[in-house]
Amino acid sequence: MAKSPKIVSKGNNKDEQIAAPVAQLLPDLEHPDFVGGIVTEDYAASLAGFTPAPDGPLPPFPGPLPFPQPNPFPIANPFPIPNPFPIPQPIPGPFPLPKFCGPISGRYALPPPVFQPGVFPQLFFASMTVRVDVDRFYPQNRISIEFNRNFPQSRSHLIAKVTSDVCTGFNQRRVEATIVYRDGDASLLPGTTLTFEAGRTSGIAYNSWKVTLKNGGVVTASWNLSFVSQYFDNVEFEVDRVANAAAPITSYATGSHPNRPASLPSETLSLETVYQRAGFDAKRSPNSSVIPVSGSGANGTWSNSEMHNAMVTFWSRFANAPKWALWVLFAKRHDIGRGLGGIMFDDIGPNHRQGTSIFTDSFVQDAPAGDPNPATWVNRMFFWTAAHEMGHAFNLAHSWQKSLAPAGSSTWIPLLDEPEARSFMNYPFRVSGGQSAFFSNFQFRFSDSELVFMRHAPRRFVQMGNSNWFVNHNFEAPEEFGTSHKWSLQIRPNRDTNAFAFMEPVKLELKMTNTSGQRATIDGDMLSDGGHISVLVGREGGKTKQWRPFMTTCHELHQDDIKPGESLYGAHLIGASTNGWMIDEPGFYKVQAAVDVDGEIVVSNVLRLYVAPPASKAESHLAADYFTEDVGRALAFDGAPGLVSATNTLREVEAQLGDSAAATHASVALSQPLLRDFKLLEKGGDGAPLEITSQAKDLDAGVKAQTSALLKAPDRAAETLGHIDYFACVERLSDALDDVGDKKAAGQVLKSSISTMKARGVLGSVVATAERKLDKLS
Amino acid sequence: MKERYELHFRDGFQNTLVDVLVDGKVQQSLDLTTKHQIGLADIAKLSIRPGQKVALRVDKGDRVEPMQLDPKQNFVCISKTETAVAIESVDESPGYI
Repeated sequence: MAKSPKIVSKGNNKDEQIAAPVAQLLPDLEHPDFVGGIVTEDYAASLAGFTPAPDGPLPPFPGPLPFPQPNPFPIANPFPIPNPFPIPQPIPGPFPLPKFCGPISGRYALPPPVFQPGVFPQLFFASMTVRVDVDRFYPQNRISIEFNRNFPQSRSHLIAKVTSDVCTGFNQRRVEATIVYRDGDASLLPGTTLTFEAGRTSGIAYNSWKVTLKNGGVVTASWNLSFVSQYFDNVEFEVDRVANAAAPITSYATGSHPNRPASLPSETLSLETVYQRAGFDAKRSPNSSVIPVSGSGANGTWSNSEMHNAMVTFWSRFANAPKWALWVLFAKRHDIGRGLGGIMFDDIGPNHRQGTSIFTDSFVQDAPAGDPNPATWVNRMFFWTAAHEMGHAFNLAHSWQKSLAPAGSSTWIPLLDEPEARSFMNYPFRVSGGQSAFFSNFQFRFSDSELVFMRHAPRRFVQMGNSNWFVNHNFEAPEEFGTSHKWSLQIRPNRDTNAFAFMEPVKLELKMTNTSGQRATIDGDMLSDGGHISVLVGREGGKTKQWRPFMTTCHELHQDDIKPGESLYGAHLIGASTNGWMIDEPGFYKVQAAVDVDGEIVVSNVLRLYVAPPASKAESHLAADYFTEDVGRALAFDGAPGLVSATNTLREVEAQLGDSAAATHASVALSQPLLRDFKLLEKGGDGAPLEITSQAKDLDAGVKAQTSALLKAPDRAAETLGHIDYFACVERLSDALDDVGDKKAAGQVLKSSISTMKARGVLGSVVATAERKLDKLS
Repeated sequence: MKERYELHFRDGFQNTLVDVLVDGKVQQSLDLTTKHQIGLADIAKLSIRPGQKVALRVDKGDRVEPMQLDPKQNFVCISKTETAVAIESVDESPGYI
């Protein structure tokens, strides 16, 4: 029988808060696994000339040497050089300048863009992160690049393996690498090799960074970069404890147990340190607290769903969203029993890998019989277990499971099992020789393949709450850039499916909602005036093009008060543009819009729509004449009698395609100008200047055609024209009838419109406006 | 006196049906999926009389995997690969992390 979930409440025992340990760390420079930079071989070779004997010792580095920012670490003795060193007399000269480069590992990004008011910031729609991994702790000799284009949304990721790393002068470093892994749209990062250069233009510190992509030696792309951090990503973890569990062990003195590698430095490691050395700016949350057991029922053990429930309640940073944060709970015992020492329990719901538990009443506290220091052994095992479970939150599998992946689901580099790895992700008691053999050779680190994954895999694979546990799929975490906290923008058709008939003009509606929770003051016409929006349309497998409206309205600047939850609307013929038809051929298309709201770019959803193939020979026959700029223009303006060829084509469409959606659009465009005297600018004969003529209205013909197009099958017409355009057309028809005094007919048109509005779920405020207008006609 | 065992079904199970046969008769039927984060699908308790023969049948197949049980080693670890079922008896309860 399933247990009832434990009810937990937020603890408030400040005096019981779990104190973070004070780590007594070995300075990086003194740590044998820290690589503080490189010295070019030329320098070492040049110094060889000073040695008193062949193969004799090299002189010490000239010092003290100033070291570069952003990381001021001096080189940690990259070559073993004895000291004191017998200096030859006389000193030969000239002494060579050192080719000597400080560390460059870390995270780089495009420099922040400079915003220019009034300029639609297309360039702002890309972000790039470069992770350089050639020195500091456990270098993996990889450079990875992550490129996110937010509009239209596309991403690319590559990993390159370093083939050369040269110090060409003091803090002038050049790293060459070959691309070995790709994910996403390769065209965003074209090339087969890359070069990362770090240099200095003045002073002693690095102050210029550049990455260049090449294909066969030819430069395909190049970016100047800014230094962000010596770490590859930031991560925060919170440690909480259930009141009846033993105190969390989050640090360990590496020299405290006699069974350890002779080369292991003696220091006090914290969990933060473990993950900092893995490449993350790991910080422990100050919000640690103790979870009371009151209300948890008689059953003192924990199920995975109970822990998930506790995480949702207790973790101060819990959210159903991907983020670089995780929750570490020390509890007493799992339902499975003493045999379970810890678990990354969070494979529940849409956002996995956010929570881990360590069980203090478990086999982890059972030191082997005869161990020389059982208390320290237990401390080490709990520390190891905590680091291990946290590793699962980074989507690391056990060492013997590396090759496993659900069929077809993994796009990461295929890995080999590492059953003997001395890693946080292996079971100590599972290797040859058991736990004693494991810890005698364990350096408190992750394996190289794990470090490559954590540091360089597409971030959605690694980030907590993103890809599902053990599976490299799921959605991409939205980049912060382009995600507005004040507005949401939606692009949509007013129909049940996103499918369009061949030749049906694709009209789409934009809806922008105030999600700020506060009133906002903006231009209420910004979705309809054509001046604030940008839309990109791409056929799948083809190029993406920017849509340009046929008309941009320059209107008096005005500000409208938009309440929280209120929306602005706009509708546009997206299928056609001043640079031709954007949506014409059958197939799938993606459409995305962005709006510039006082300098903040609000990006819409990506709308995927389908255009069906021609339904008849007549459609195929008419298509060549139909998909012209003039026909697009005539449709966008609801008629353009001056465009004679386009008008004739629309007549053919109306006549030959019967009840099709394209025929409805054609009928509206042909008949709308008949409702009023229509001015035309025409050339006079024999070189006479342009003159304005007027085409007299033909109300009877116009009303008849409009009634047929709009009111005979109102639902179908509203669907293909879109709500905004359809109801505007119907209102114009009513107005035309009212203008000639036929209030009865005008009222009937409005009644039909209101009925259609209600049937299609149009906003109540819009219906109310139409009803008020109808009342005035009565 | 009965012999008691714990059968630890570990790696390699994905919606796998396993029958535990005692003297040819199904004593337990399990639907197993390995929980990768602990390398364990399930633990089944088995109680038999001395001399009884225990075997496993996977996915209702024709092949039956006989188990050599030793009363001094009460914990039986069972893992499955694409081609075989690995069975190992140990004297201490295995731990999972």
